[in-house]
Amino acid sequence: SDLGWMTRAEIEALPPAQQVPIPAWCSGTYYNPELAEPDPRADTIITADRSRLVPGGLAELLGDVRVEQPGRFLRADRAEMDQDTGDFLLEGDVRADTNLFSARAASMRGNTRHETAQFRDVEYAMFDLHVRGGAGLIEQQQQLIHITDGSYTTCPPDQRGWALTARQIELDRDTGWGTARNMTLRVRDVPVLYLPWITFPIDDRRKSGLLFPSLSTGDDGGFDVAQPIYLNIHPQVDAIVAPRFIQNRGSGFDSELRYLTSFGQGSISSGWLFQDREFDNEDRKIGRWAHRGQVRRWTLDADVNYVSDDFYFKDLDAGLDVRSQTNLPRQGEARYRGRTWTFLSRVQAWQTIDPLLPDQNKPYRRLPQLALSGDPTIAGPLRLLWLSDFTRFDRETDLPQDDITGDRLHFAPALSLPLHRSWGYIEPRVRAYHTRYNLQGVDTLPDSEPTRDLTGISLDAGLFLERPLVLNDTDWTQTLEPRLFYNRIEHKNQDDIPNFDAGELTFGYNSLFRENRFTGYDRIGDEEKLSMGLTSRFLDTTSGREVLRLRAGQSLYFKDRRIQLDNRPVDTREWSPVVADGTWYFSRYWHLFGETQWDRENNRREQNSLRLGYSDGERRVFHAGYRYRAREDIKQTELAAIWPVHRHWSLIGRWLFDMEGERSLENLIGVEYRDCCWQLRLVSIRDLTDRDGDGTLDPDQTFQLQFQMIGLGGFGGRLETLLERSIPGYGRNYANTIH
Amino acid sequence: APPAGEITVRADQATFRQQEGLGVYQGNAELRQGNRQINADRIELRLSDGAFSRAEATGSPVRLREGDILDARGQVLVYDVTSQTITLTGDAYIRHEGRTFEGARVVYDLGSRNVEASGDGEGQRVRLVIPAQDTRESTTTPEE
Amino acid sequence: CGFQLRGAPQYQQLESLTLLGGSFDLHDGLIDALEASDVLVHDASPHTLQIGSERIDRRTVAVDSQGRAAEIELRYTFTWQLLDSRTQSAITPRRRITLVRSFNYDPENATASSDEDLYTRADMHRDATWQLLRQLDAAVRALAIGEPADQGPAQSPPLETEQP
Repeated sequence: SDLGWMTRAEIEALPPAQQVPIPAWCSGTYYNPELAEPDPRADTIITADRSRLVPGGLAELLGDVRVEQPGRFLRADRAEMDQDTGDFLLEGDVRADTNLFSARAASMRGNTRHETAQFRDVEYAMFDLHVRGGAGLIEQQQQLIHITDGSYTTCPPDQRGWALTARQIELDRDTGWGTARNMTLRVRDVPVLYLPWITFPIDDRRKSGLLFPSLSTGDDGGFDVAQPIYLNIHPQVDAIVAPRFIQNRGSGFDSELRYLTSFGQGSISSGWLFQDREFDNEDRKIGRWAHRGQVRRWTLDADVNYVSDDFYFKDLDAGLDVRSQTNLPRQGEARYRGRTWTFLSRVQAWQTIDPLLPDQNKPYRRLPQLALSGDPTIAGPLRLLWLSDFTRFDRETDLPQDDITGDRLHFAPALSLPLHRSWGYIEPRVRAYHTRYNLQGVDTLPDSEPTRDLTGISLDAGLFLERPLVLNDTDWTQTLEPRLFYNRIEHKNQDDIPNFDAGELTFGYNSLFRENRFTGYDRIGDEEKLSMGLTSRFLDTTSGREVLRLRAGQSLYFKDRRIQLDNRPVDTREWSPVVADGTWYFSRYWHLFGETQWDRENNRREQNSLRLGYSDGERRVFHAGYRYRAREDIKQTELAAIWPVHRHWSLIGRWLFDMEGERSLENLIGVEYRDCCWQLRLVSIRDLTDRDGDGTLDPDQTFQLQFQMIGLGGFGGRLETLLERSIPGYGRNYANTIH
Repeated sequence: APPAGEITVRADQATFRQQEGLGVYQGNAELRQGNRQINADRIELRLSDGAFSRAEATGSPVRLREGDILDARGQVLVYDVTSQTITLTGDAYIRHEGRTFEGARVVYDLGSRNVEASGDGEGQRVRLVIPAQDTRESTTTPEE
Repeated sequence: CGFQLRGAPQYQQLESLTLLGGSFDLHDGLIDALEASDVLVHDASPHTLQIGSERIDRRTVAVDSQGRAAEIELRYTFTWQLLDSRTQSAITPRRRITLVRSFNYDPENATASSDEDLYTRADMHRDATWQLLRQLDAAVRALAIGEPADQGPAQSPPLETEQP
């Protein structure tokens, strides 16, 4: 066979034990089935038609010479063998096959006892790197391979896709990096790119990538080209610099540097567009630092973003996911995770890029927030639930009356008596809230050091009931989990307290069982309610997998809720809306989720959502969603899918439709071609965003074209992150996770 | 130089044919010359004008040993004094200075101490084994 | 109608477990629940619960009338597998748990929405822990690992792994 390439049919004809998986879009793979793992301890058997043995160990062999070792098979017309050192020279129609490598060469030098080899005038294929090519000379020392005057491609032998030819190519299997000098890239033998020096990943430790430029055209920007270049700076650091040219705007670059340290891994990315001609010649800049790390019991996280102006994403990026952003986080935190105590220290600020947001609605910054919480046992089942938080709030505004800033010290310790059994639990709690402020810029507030004290009690109880069930001849376990939650928090006037971080909690089944109906600590919601919830799950008894879960719940209020935000009226409803939701995995790949909230008193649907999803974990993803929210009159449907229609072709689509405004918020239609050698994505995105900050939505259409050499590593670029964020489950199937 | 010294041959029976200058030794035949020793079922010694010129041994197999540097076997062994070569044919096997060689035909040149082996043109080819860990260097091979 | 109170979980028979991989959030919930059922969590247990490819994806699924993000969807997934600590061989096939939650995003209160993001993730970790323990319970019952507690920590019988 040709350099170890076996077609799908040939592989399927092999005995099952020798079969190997082939990626769906490849017509075959490199494989030498009869060669197992090399065994250095085994003898080398050499056979030939004739041979001559000279004293001092040199043997000459002639006539179909074969050198065989477990995992290694060589053949040549003539051989010289130094039996003392194990060195050998093969000449004449040389064939070399191992379990990871195949070559046809004019001559070969090697050694039977260690992994060194040298081939001249060779055609080669490296199975683990899925690579083949030709070369004047190939030298191999253990994991390092030097190719001189050679070519390198991942395209299968039966396909003339792209090839990279160079004076010097060095492949290092340990670090997973390749380097080429005086490199020319040929597509179907037409030279398209010359680079004096380039590095490229040769295995999939790095994100799959791109050497070829990514192209897009947009309504206003015009033609937009980015050409990524890889920089392999250090085994723990790699970087990509992508010079970018936008026809109607100007030129600049995008860059991403990724690092791996003992304090965690992260990336620093930046983008710069010089004198954007469509933005009165201002520079457009973006920067982001993302970090995730863990040092013993400390976790370190950072997500710091910067853009030069509010319209950066709407002008220079695509996809509703990035263009709908209003507040870019700038936060960093260090969190200690003890078994009983947790300490959080964080700074959190935002860059607001919503031109319409008035200053008084700009979010407050937490510079810093220090929070200590824990649940030490006092005696037996009695526990102390400690919660303490010091936060300094800050905000820059132009209008004086809005610039209230200050420090808040908040304590909310509770005594709790949790009694947990396998069949149920009951947990009474008594909690005291003490909050004190030290405020500046308070001419609109009576007191610069307001304090607030109040108490609350709650009782949470639940039962776990089960029964076996047989439905269409499978064994199920159905559970019935009633839950009661009584919560009483006294009312205390909080008008003289600023609102730094309090917000309305999304109403849902879980919110029925929370003590404080607001997020944050600036508002403690007065309340006396009894929440009732019932959950039933159908579990597949053998696997324990939850196949169907149904929940319903409602709260009965004994008092009006007087503490409200944004001076909404007192809530006098006696019953909360009924909330019911269900999740059903009705087959291995399909799942259905539905939630509804129905307000009995004024007979109104508060919120509904429906989700139908399919994901086969490999190539197929389908998602259909419907969302209705009465209060913000949101009524939107979503369809998203990646669906292979052929071994090489897949359709990509996302459609977000606003039924309220009867307009398509985002249409993403794309096609992806992928085979063993390359991947091509052509995607058109049309989305509605507020492009000029006047509150109305204007359409914008862009086309994105992306070539990618499979196996040449590289940088998925914006298109990959765009798809990852718009198609649910795309990330898991397609992009590999860097963990 | 070829090992000098006279040749002694022993066997269960021996017959001589003076006029042909041929001595035939049958049964556990053994030929010794210096530290070289040939054991076979049957050895034919040929003399030409009074001197030993050729020996032909057959056995299952014929064994040839020379001190500890040479150990060879084959179905037929021909020791040609004039050309100073020993030729083994028929599943010939030779172990020379720690290297083993097999083939249809092995020729050992006593002068240059070269060994040449060749297949029989059909099934049997020359076979050479390179030990993974060279046994000559390590006196005792550690038990695996 | 056949409902009874739920009995003690089967994974109690494990007596101890080593946790490998996975984030602190998942670990905290798991350790609390396991130790509440007298299963010690330490690094020298004969059984290892390995958590792999844990990932949370965040995406915008609804926008308001001004095109601003109004609802965020979180998609949390990871795989788990029970291994024999000594041989690192699989006792159960690798299984995946996936959870999807969404919460309302208030463009005018980013600070509060970021807190709700944390509450939602905490809820997902709690639910994921619950599902994982139910599946672990079923796996332990199916493989009858270990002897009943009163006989002391006898050598666990040879196990045939379940085919996926």
